Amino acid sequence: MKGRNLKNLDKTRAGVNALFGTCLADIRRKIRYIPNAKELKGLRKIHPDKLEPGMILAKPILIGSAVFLGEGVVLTERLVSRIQNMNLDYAFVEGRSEQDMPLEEALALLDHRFRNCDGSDLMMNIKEIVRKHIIELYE
Amino acid sequence: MSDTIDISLMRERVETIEALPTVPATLKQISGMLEKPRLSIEELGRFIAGDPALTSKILKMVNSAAYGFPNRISSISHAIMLLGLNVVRGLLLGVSVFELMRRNIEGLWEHSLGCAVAARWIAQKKQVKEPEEVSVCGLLHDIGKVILILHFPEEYEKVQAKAGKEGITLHEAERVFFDATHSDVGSWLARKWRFPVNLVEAIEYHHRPRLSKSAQLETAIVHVSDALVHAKGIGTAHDDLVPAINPDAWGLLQLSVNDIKAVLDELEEAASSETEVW
Repeated sequence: MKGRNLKNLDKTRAGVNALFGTCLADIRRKIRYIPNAKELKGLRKIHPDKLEPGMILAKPILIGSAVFLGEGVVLTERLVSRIQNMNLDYAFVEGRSEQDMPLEEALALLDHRFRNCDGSDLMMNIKEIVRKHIIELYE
Repeated sequence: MSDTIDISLMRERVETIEALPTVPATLKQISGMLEKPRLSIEELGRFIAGDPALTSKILKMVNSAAYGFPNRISSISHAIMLLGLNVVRGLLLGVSVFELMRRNIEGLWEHSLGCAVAARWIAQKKQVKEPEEVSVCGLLHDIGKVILILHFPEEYEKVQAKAGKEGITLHEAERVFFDATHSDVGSWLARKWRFPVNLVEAIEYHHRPRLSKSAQLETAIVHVSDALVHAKGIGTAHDDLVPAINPDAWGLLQLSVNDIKAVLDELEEAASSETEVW
């Protein structure tokens, strides 16, 4: 009987630890918050003058602390002109910025930048990561 | 008999920045301000606030991706409180050489901002206590290039031409014409301006991180950030070669593939965000 109780107690303790441990990890994450690159992906900060109907807000637009337009709102002509009258410095919309050259050219420039690094595994590994990063920007 | 410019003469000329006619009056004034041994928060705040253009440039900077307080800092005193005196002193210098960087060396400003963004990200990842200070190290690491071009315009043109023609970095080409490089020159001034030792060493050793004695982590961060910004191709108009990363500095940081990807994404985000600082 006593043994069973102890076993249960161990189980409970393990359960509490698991639960509490996760919470702690979560709290730690929140305290040391580093904006995750994935969260930032596909988000573009632009001047309100460059907003166009059809763009999707990637972050809400606030008036004071109240939400004027929420995340995910598709902009219409009327909304664009209202935002432009709000004197904001910028707004966040979904999507990547336009890459200013064809992919082949961007990759050729990458080769050119790394032209002196051929003998180094470390530099070649970094080059490969950058190459994938560039290709992703065009997808 | 060497054709290079002698190091002691060079140091003397660089350190008398106030006497150089090509240095704008504001920078001379700022240089005098930074040299003060006991600069108080109030004094620095008053100095910046007295110049509305400077104030707005610094506020834009602290509210940009490089410093991670988007839209939260509305006054210089608030910035000094949040970021500390040294960070704001560094930013004051950064934004005041901004025009010089843009005018004299194409791409250098974008490269410097990129390094500030990358350095801050890595510093946070490595749980450095003051990531903003490391970001300032990234922003100012190449300041020696601006000073060299102001003091030795003809020689520096030759340096740039040689680097381009022979496919070597500016740092390597500088050695042919001078007895010291932009990292030495930058560190002389950083000392003269009483910047903290981590900033001085990050500037002095960003091409040779192993030599850093008291700021190995910060120097390694700036060294790797410099290479990653080159690798990504930001501001490479002045120097497009990716400098080789020192394996010891790399080992110290222990960055994963995902970390590097995150830095590249962060740079992409910062460079494509249409803020005026870029």
